[in-house]
Amino acid sequence: MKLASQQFGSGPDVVLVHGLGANRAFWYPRLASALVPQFRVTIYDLRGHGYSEVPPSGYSTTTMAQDLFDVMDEHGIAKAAVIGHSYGGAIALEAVATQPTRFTHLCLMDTRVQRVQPQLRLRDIDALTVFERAVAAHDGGDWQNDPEIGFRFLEAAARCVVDGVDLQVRDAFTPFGEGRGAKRAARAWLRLLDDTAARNEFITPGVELEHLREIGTRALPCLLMYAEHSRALRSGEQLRELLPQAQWRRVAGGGHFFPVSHVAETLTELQAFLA
Amino acid sequence: MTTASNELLQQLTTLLDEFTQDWDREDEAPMTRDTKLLADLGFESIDIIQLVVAIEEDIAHRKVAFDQLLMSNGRYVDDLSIGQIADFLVPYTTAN
Repeated sequence: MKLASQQFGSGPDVVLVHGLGANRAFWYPRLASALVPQFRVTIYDLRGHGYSEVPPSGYSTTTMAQDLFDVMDEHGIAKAAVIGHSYGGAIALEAVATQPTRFTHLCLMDTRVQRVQPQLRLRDIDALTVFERAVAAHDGGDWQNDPEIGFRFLEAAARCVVDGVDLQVRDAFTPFGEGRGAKRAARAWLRLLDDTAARNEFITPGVELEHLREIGTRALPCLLMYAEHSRALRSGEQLRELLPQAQWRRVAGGGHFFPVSHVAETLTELQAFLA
Repeated sequence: MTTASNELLQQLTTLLDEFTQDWDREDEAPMTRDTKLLADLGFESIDIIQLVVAIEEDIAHRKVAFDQLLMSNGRYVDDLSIGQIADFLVPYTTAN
């Protein structure tokens, strides 16, 4: 299967894994370019995203962790620091649990872990952003009782873009982009949900908690970054217990997409962690 | 414009025609030196990144320091014209 990927710079390897509904432009140019002077940075599009292939199935973190290994193999990466945002972090966690010796560092950014947080409800979120509120109002569905509010939001946001609905409000980061190309990205997300097994596979639990505890017994440096307005805080707090060696950081004022909205803070933490 | 830049413009136009053929572009006006990636062709960030890969593979046949083109005065540029890319690529194709 073809996974679109790119590599920049030279030095110790760093692989960046984006979250659902995004693509490798989530990291590049801003964060990735800033790491390039010291590291060899690899970015790729998850299956079903960006310029990677869209197979009919294989969207669980378990399968997508194998994709991560395939990208590492293709680029001749023996060992890397892996950094994942959101679902990309769940993929990274799965990969580290599967083949720990291939990783030098693990950084998770606002990652929800299915095993410890099997549902994501509206009450898990301290406050919706202005854009999320506008999407919810336009969607008109029962957001209070939806067990997968994150997916509900992404899908409703994509339908707004495809239908040409301008909600008049913006967050620092708006899924699917702003320009005319946003329609292509939003359509691609809806096709992924409607035409493949992704919708169900995305919520398939990954690695067992015992395996996560094993990561905790290793000397692997871990950094857990969670937004002040995180929707995955329960995951983060449980990961702190499972990975006692992990550094714990909250991004002041940040929401789920803080790697884009709070680039400078994110970069400062990353550079200190990887140094 | 130099001959080298105009030749690159031709190559880029062919590449971009192929690149955007499935995009249902509203504006089907022929591409010129002034055609802009975001404003005229409906590019998103990911498309620029992928175009860089295509240029490296099909036109430059080596790595290109695109950061220099994408950055201006410490900021990322808002848009790029095909002519700007062609001019930028001249040293990469003439130094071979």
